Amino acid sequence: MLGVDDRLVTPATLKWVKVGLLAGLATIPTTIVLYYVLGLTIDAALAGTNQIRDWLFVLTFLVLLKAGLAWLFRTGQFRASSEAKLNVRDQIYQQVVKLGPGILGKRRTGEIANTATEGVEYLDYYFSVYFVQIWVAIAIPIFLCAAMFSIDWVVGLWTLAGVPLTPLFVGSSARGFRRISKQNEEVKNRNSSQYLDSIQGMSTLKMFNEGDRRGQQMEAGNETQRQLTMKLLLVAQFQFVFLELGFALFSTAVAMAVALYRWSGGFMTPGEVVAVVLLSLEFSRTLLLIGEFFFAGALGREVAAKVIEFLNEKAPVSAGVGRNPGAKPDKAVRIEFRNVTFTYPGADKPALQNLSMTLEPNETVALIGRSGSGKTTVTNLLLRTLEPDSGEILFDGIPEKELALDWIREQIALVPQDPFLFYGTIADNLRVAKENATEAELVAATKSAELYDYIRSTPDGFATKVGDQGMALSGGQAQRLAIARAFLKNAPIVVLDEPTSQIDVETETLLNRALARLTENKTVLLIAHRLSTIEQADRIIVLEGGLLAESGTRQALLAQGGIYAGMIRTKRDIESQTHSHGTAPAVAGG
Amino acid sequence: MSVEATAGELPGTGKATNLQIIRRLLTYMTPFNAIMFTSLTARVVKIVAQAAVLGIAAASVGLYIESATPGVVNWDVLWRQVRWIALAGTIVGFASYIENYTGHYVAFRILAAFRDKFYYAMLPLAPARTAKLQSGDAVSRVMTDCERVEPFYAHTIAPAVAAISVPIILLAWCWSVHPTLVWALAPFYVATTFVLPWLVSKLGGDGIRYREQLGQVNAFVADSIQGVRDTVAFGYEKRRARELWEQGASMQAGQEKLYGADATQRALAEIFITVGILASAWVGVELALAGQISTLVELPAVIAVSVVGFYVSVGMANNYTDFRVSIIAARRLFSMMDQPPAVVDRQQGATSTGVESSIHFRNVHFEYDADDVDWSRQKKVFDGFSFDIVPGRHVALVGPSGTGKSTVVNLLLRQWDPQTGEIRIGNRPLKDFSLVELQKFFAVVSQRAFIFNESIRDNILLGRHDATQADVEAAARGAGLAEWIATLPDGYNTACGERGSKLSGGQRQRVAIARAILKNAPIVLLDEATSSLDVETELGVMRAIRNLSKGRTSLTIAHRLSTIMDSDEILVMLEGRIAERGTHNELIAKGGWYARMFEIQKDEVDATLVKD
Repeated sequence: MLGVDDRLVTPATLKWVKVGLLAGLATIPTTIVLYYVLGLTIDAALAGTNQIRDWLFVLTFLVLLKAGLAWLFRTGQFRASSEAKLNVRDQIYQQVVKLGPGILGKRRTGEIANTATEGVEYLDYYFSVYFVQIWVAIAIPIFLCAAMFSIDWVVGLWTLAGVPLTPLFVGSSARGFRRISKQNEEVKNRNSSQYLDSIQGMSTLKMFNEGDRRGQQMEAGNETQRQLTMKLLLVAQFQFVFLELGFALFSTAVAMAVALYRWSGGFMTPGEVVAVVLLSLEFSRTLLLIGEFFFAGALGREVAAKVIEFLNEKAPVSAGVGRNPGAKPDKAVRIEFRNVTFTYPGADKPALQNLSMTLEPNETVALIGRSGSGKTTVTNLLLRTLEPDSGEILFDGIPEKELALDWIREQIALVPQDPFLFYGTIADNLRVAKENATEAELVAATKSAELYDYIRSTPDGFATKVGDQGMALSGGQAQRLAIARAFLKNAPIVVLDEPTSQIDVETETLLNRALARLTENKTVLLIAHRLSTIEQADRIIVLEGGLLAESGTRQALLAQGGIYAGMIRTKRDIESQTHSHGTAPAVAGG
Repeated sequence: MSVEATAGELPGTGKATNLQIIRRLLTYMTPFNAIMFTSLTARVVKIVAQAAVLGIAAASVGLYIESATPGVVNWDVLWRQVRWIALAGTIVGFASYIENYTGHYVAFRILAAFRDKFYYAMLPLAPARTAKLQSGDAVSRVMTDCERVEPFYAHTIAPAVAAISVPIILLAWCWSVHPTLVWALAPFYVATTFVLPWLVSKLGGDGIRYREQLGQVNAFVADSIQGVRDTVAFGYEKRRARELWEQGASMQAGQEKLYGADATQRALAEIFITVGILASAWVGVELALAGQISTLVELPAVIAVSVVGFYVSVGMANNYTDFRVSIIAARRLFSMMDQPPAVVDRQQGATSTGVESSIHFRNVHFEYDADDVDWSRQKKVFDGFSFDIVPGRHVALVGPSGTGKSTVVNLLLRQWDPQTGEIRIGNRPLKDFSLVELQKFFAVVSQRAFIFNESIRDNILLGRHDATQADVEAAARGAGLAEWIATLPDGYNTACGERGSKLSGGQRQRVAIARAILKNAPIVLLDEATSSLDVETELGVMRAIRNLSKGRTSLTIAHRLSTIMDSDEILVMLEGRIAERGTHNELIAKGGWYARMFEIQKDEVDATLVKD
């Protein structure tokens, strides 16, 4: 009915759209009746009576009816849009979860978050104004013509001739607007991106004493844009002169002249002529309504299209219901990648190609490779936020496609390099891993993660607010919170993305102790950045451009003289290089 | 931070009354007074002429009927009346044209002017008070707020003025018809124009509570989406989705009041309008029956004119929501603009030329304000901090994060002032110089150099805006950029993209170095200039940095110790004081924090070291 993707419209939305629409449509006849009554009043006055006094009761009812309809009209619009927004937010979130972190990079989640917050507010207009008012605006001339016809068919015919005026008016002003906005768009975008840039780079501008100059530049840019636009508008808006004049002539003047002509023929009473004149005013009200929804609707349509496009994105994981091989087994799990190939949508070459590897129960495997070699993709495949294009992944010999998604994710505890902290308390953030964890469990987990002492040192303890708008935790603390989450989850597989450089001397020891505890008796996939941790692994896998380049124990790889061995060599080279640099006296200039 | 703060409300301007905010918004309009006045006049003329069109048409009924005999069409009267309508219609057209044109002018100018005002207001506050503007989301919120202020000028003032002045003009006309009409109609106009908006504001409140709730829900939504990896990994998504729904639903409940008030206002407006029209008819009929006015000329005209008048008079109430949103947005922006600057500038000061490029911190005590949580987790940074750098020396500052290394740079640039103690350049206290003069001492390269969405040339020119192309090229060569730029089809005109997105991390830092070279300042400050780069890239950039520092005093803050080993002196900062100092070899021999950290870092393998 609405010509919108069904996913944006819930039954509740539809119900309220209908309520608003019906109320809006019902308002039109009440207005027509009002004007007709005013006409009849004049006839009655000619006959010497005050009809309004006689009809007081009926008119009171009319007034209340109009008020009630206006209330319903507005309420319908509001409810429709508020139901719609609630639903759209939910849909977006569900889709975010479905697409998962494998597909949605950091940049995209930021964009989507913007659409789901600021963007969704524009849907307000879309549902309230656009869907209801467009139909009301279309119905008004139809109702009016019908009313005119029933008063006098000749007047009705002439009025009918004036009906195309409205679309004409809207069409031509829309065209003019589009032309101007297109011409302007580029300049406008440039100006506003320059402004954004200047606000964000303000400190840099100040350091170079460029703040004021930049401000003047922007002012000049705005002025140029304005002059350009106003020159265009000067001509484009001249149509208003003719259109307003046209309206006055074709709706009001024609209605008046034809009605009086018909009066002369004895077909109409004077009161009916007055009613016709008053009704002609309603034609121009259509314009007001259209003006409202034309711009608001355009913005909403843009957002709606964006949302639909996002909802249409195909989830990378088939949502089939697999089997659940029972509750969390107390033993470690064996994982096998068999000829796994994966290409990101839109990418021209695979992120992983023919990868085969096995993680034996209780084995710790270090995964190394430069950025872009496919390490993150392996993690995402393991968590099944991505699915291989070909090949398969097996858990204890069972292909993952036969397993329930929930079961797989229950098996894995992820300790990312940059854990996400939700705005909320530390306790809230820990309970992400286990909904009804008791206080005692939280204490135990944070003790194991070496975070408890810190929590105790804060005034609010577990109730300390963290996350974007709370207190910032240091990188090391956040990491340990992630480890505590992993303890609470107590999954047989641990995927650990080792923190890189920003670690302090003090944190180092704590973190190592916590990790040692966490990985005990677990199958561990370690995305490693330190020689010492790599050396502790039972096996090392080197990824290179999506291919498995080397795999084996440390000794084996060193003996092989491949990438890993080369890496160790380069590391030593650089060290000796910088050392010699440090002692070279030539550098200390001045 | 409190929940109120998350909704963007800051203390200070928060207490300003709506009237004060309106007055302030109006003062911003002063340069546009003439054009605004034209626009308003055109609007009023347009509506009065519209009333005239309908009034003439209605009056024509009587004029025609009284002069015609039934059965014969009196074309003369008909044509005369149509011509009158055409005249009024032409006035409507021209007035509408002028109104639209000037309205656009004001809308264009005001938004731009308001943004400029905001920019200039924030300039002295950066960066101490603009931490929030570092995130793209926050900036886009500010931009949205600026846009929300625009309707105040574009859609609030004009309808309000029209809602007041048009009824007055129409009543004046009614007076000329018969004074009794005025007494009957005036109360209804007062009700629709003034009582209605007042009633709505009483019913719906000021909407601040709703904006706060919306802010919370939006923060929750954004958090949920951005945390999707950790959500999915811990099976938290169903709970999160439920909570998200509940929050939305509870906000919906909170909106009821606001929405209810708006719906009630529409209903009341409908009552006032309809009853007002009927009242005008009633009084008109009574006057006509009493023979005071003509039944077919004046009575229809009075009814027609009052219909137009009443529709206009609700303009104020109908735009009340827009108005309210504008005020809330303006309040938020003003509260940002009105923060006191962190440092007080002086208009006249010493000149920077000829001042020796040594740096002295003398017993500096410094802590960030409570509001500055974005800058440091620790409030108290320095408690009696002193150190000196001899001109021409290359000094490095290292230590754990959060010990105040970057604060040293912030204080040197006078982005903040220490509470007590003194910082000097050469022999002059920093406060002797104006801020503009002070910046001339320093060339700064920070961790994530800000690259503007402009050409490479423009970005380098930031160092010295009147530099020649040869200067720019020399700077690019010094920064190790020249060869890369030579391979680009557009060369120096290549656009850098949003925040330098079309450049790699290393290239961005090099552009910043080229800027610094071009600036040719005596002191070079490197604040984690290479920390966000991988080791391989870092080595290359370090060479460019050596070019930059040559012959100048330099202070380097670094995380990777391998990059500062060759400094003349290394200062180790622990908990706001210098714990160790000496050359690399001396510190290694000492076996303290530096030596231990150096050991840990030796252990790091950067994956990018894997060579083909």
